[in-house]
Order: sequence, then structure tokens, then C-alpha cells
Amino acid sequence: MMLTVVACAVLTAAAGYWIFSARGESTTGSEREAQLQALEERKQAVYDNLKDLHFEHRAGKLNDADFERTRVMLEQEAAGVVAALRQL
Amino acid sequence: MQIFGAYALLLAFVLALYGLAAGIMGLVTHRAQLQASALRASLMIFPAVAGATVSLLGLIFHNDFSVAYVAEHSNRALPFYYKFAVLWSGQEGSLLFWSLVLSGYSFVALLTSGRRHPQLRPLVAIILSSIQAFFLLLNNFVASPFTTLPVATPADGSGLNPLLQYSQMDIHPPILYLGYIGFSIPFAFALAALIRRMPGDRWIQVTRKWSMVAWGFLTVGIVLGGYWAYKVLGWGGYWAWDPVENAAFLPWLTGTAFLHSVMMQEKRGMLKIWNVGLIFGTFFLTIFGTFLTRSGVISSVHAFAQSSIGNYFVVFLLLVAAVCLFVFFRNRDALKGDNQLESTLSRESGFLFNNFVLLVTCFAILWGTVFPVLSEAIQGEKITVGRLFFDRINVPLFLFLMFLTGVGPLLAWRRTSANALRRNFLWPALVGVAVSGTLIGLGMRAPYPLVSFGLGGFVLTTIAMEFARGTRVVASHGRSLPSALVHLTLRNTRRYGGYIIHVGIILMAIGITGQAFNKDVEAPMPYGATMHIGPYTLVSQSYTQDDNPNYSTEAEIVQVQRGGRVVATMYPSRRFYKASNQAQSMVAIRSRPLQDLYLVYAGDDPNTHQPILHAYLNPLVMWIWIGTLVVVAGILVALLPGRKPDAGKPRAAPAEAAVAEEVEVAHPA
Repeated sequence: MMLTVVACAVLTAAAGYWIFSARGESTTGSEREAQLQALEERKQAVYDNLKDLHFEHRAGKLNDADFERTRVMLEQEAAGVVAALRQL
Repeated sequence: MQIFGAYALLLAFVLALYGLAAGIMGLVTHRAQLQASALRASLMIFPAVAGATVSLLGLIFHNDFSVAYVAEHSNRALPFYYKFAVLWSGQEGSLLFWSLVLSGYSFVALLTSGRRHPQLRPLVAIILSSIQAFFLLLNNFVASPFTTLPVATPADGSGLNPLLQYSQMDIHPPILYLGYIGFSIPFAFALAALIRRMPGDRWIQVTRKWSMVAWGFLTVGIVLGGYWAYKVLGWGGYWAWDPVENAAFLPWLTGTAFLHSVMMQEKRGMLKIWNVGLIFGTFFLTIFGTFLTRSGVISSVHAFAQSSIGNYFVVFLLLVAAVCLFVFFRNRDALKGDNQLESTLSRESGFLFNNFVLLVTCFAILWGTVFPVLSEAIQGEKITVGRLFFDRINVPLFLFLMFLTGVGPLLAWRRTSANALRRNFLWPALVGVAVSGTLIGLGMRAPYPLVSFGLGGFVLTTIAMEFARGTRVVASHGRSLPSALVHLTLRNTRRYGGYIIHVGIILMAIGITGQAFNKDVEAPMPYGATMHIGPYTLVSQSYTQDDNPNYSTEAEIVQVQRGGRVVATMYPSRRFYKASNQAQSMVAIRSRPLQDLYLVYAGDDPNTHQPILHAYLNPLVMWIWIGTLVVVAGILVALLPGRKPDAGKPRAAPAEAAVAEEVEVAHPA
């Protein structure tokens, strides 16, 4: 019984000490930072799409007309994202 | 040990409440220290619940029958490897196990998300603490595994349910729980991102990865359940559309839909609302499935005893629905899509079809599952829909899904011209038609199996072509073909891991299709009697008996002949478990790639007292288990981080240059 009480006390004390000794760091970034991050992610996604497009074209899954049309669209999309990044 | 376990469980509940309250206060008052303290409380729940679990296991292994749960679910003669299964064999223990898995998942998710998701982590901790608080409330005040018996301690316990005394039962429930509960993590990230109105897609990556983990465990858990039913229940099948089987299958369907549609969000910034809805729905279905299993509202071989616990689940489900709907309608403008669907002949529309069919399937199964409850509520009479309903609705839907599995990789993102589609379709379609044609030539006439095997050929050819094309491109950079194949897979683990998963699913579908040709024979089999099934002749040779402290066994010894040659001896048997006074069949299975010979010793004829043998011939079942192993391999590949491509690199630089040129033209500096 004594051992049980000690075990319960140790568990509670350890939990209490660990929880209440926590030091906080601010986790809220600015809205601009969040927008920047979102645009960087979008840019990376579009670049990855472009790389995949080239790969699929070389693998013979896309004919030249489909490849060119999609490439132009993706490059325009990427350009829009890069421009938005520059503005920020 | 009992007092420590109960205390640790209570402490875990207090920690969950503190994590919830302090976390909300910290966010509202912007006090970072309070948020950090709440986060630590959330992390601390796991050690506390682990302490409680170890205590209960200690009580089970020490045969402490003063604890009601141990007395009701264990006994002295129970082998030690089944004593672990006692933990999840009853309501109270399985809820504790649920809390353990949830707190373990939360611990890992919160520890690993600090660097990449610092803004989401405090909210994720609050959401996970609230889910944990609910289960710990049940564990502490409604169904505690540490309650002591009000009467004198019995000399021995009632024993573990014989249906659970199988090796599969030591792994099926934990794996299934890992799948079920795992969906809490992507739910928490999705809800947190929506509350925060996170504009980017980074949260969707962590949601997808956790969903993949949960989906993988759920897949394996469901199949292990089928494997257990096949080996244990002795009716020759592995899936009976039992409500509890369905309850696990429903979130699997919505989770599968999410894992496909999430690609559209990552690739094209589309379907954000849809994806959030799917992940919310998947989590809701996991809790709903738990409610079905534990409330006693449905009858099932798996269900726990009827109890008032269902009311708590109803309240929790309503709360979850209310919170999700409130956050969704308040912040739905943050889920505006970046792009629109450009063509019906595109990978995007393929995914949309796939999602549509998966959700229709989900709804049909849900409808069939809850129909007895609805009919009783409306008409006062419980009407159960049977296997015929589920098969009639689902078989065509599953075939359509197989078709879409093959079509998806043939379609390009954004738009595919009819010309390119025709070219990509040609070989897979020819192989599919050739497979069906060959089977017709061999005498097969059943339409659904013909379509299923043909689609199997179609999809496998599509995937083989994907690997072949990609390997050729990588090999053109000077690699050998095997090296190029490995490099291709590791270059885009998600895509090629996904294809491997599709191969596994198709192998499983082929195995499931085999049941259209099942045969069975039942007859008395006294000594020397013979029975014929398919190519086999079964000869009853003798009987044997055995006895140990846990159970006694009687087995029939059956010689199996094929073409006049003895190919095996099989021992179908029955066990009588002493502690629980229950009998249980032990099936004998001879498993081969083309068919399983499945023998059940069905007891003695009450009139003639002759032993009855029930023999089944089940074609292609082995492919279900092989397919599952392939799915697991695919999941492991898909979870690997992708390597940077070297084959695409020379093309990437001009692409970026072209983008820079576009920017200069449109927006001069």
C-alpha cells in the first residue's frame, strides 16, 4: 500500500513539475508571413507539376500538343504566384 | 496495483481537462506560457494512461480475480500469450486500450509537429485533449476496468471468450484500433487549420501522411478480421457484411476517397472544402462505428454487451458534428479553391468519379447497416438487410472502382486529348478483353467474375506500363533497368507506392471474385467414409482426443487424395473450453494459390451420432492475403520521403527560366 501511495505521489509530482515549468514561445506569426509561406508552397507545387509534366512527356504519356498547352498554362500559373510573392 | 491503475487513469483525465481548459485560455489571452503548459499536459496523458494499462496487465497476469474485469475475462489456465487479448476483450479494457492508442498517437503527433507546424500545434493539442477527455471520462466514471468485485474473490475467472483464443486475436484488434483511432490525428490537424484559417497547403501534407498511416492500419486490421473470421467462425467465408465489419469499412471508404482527392488539393489547390469534409466525415464515422459496436443498438458477433455507454457516444457525436459545422460555416471562405476543373477528360475528373463512387458505396453500406435501427424506430419492427442487398449494390460499384483504378493513371492532369487517351488505353484494354475472352473460352459464363478478371488484367497492365515508361526514361540517363526501376520508385514514392497499393487491391479483388465459384458439401463421415469435392476425395481415417487445463479437443483425421494420390492429412476439430463451458470449431485449411480446401468438424449427428464433416472449396482466397501484403509494401513505399529527381533536373531549369520570363513580361520590376 505504501509503495502504491509513493508511486502515485511520484507520478503526480513529476507531471505537475513538468507541466508548470513550461516556458512559452509565441506561436502566432504575422498574416504576411502566413501568406508568404502559402505562396512559397504554391510555387513549389507548380514547379513540381512542371517537372512531372516534363517527365510524363518524355515517358510518352502526353503528345506534343497536350504537353505544350499544359506547359504554357503551368508556367503562367507559376508566373502569377512568383509575381504575387514579389509584391509581398 | 489496482489502486495505482485507477489513480493513473484519473490523473490522465485531469490532465486532459487541464490541457483543454488551459489551452483554450492560453489561446484566448495570447499567453504563450499557458499554451506551453497545456501542451505538456496533453503530452503527459500518454505516460499516465500507459501506467494504468501496465497496471491492468499486471492484474491480469497475476490472476487478481478481486478485480471484476479480470474475473470476467480471464482465468488461471489461460496461456500467457492470450492474456494480452484480455485487455481488449471487454468493454472496460478495450476503452482503456483505446485511450492508450489515442494518447500514444497524440504524443507522437505533438512531439513531431513542433518545428513544421508551430502555429497549429497548440490547437491540435486542445482538440486531441478534448477527444481524450471524452474516452477517459468513460474509462473513469462509466466503464472502469479497475472496479473491484462486491463479493468474495472467486478462485478462478470465467475465462476469455473462446472466439478470441486465436493468435489473430492478439493482433487484429490492436491493428484495427491503430487504424480507427489514427484518423483522430488528421482530423485534429484539419480542424486546427480551419480554425486558424491557414491559407497554405502545408497542413494538408501532415494530414495526408497521418491519414495514410491510419488507412494502412485500418486496411490490415479489416483484412486480419476477415482472416480471423475465415479461420475461426467455420462458415467458409471471411466477410459477412456484419454491422461491425461494416462499421470499420465505412471510414476506410471515406479515408480512401480522401487519400485520392487530397492529391487534387496538393497539385492544383482544388477541392479544399471537399477534403475537409472527407476528413471530418472519416473521423465522425470512426466514432459512429464505435457507437454501433458498444451501444447494443445492432446485433453482431463482434458487438459488446448492451449498455448505457451508447448515450455518451450520441452526445459526443452531436458535439463533434456541432463543432465541425460551426467552424466550417464560420471559416469556409478560407477554403476557396485556386483552380477549377478544366476538362472531363482529366486526372482531376477521374479522382472526382472515384470519390463519388466511394461515397455512394459508403452511403449504401451505411444505409444497410442502420436500416434495422431505422425500421424499428419507424415501423416498430427490426428488419435486417442481408448479404444479397449488400452484394447486389456493391459488386457493380466495386467493379466501377476497379475500372477507375485503371483509368486514373492514363489521364493527364488538367486535360487529356482523345488521341492521347486512345493511345494509352489500347494495350491495357486489349489485355483486359483477352483475359475475359480466354476465360469465356475456358467455359466461364458468370458475367460479374468475367468483368472482374478482365478489369484486373486491364488495371495491372496500366500499372505495368506506368513503371515501364518511367523506368525507360530514367534508364536513358545511363542507369541499368533494375537500378532505374528502384530510382524511379524512390524518386516519387507517393505515386509509385500508390501504384503498388493498387496492385495489391487488384490482387485482393481477384481473390474476392473467386468466391463466385465456392463449393461446399456436408455429410456424415464415419470411419472409412469418403466424400468428394472438386478434384479432391476425402477419406475419414480415424479420430483423436486431447486434453489440457484450458480445453479438451476431439479431432477427425481426414486423408486428402487428388487423382488417386494422397496429398495431405487434415485435422478438423472441436474444442471444449472448460472455464466458459463453450465449444468451438477449429477449422483445417489446405491453402493453395488456386483454391483452399476448408474442412469443418461440425459435431455429431443428433440421431445417428456419426461425426459430420462440412467441406468447402474456396477458389483464389490466398490472393486476398497476398494482396494485403502487397498493399502494406506499397504503403511503406508511399510513406518514404521522395528523392530529388535527377532525370527531370535538366528540364526544370528552363522551366523556371520560362516562368521568370513570364513574370518580367507581365510584371516588370
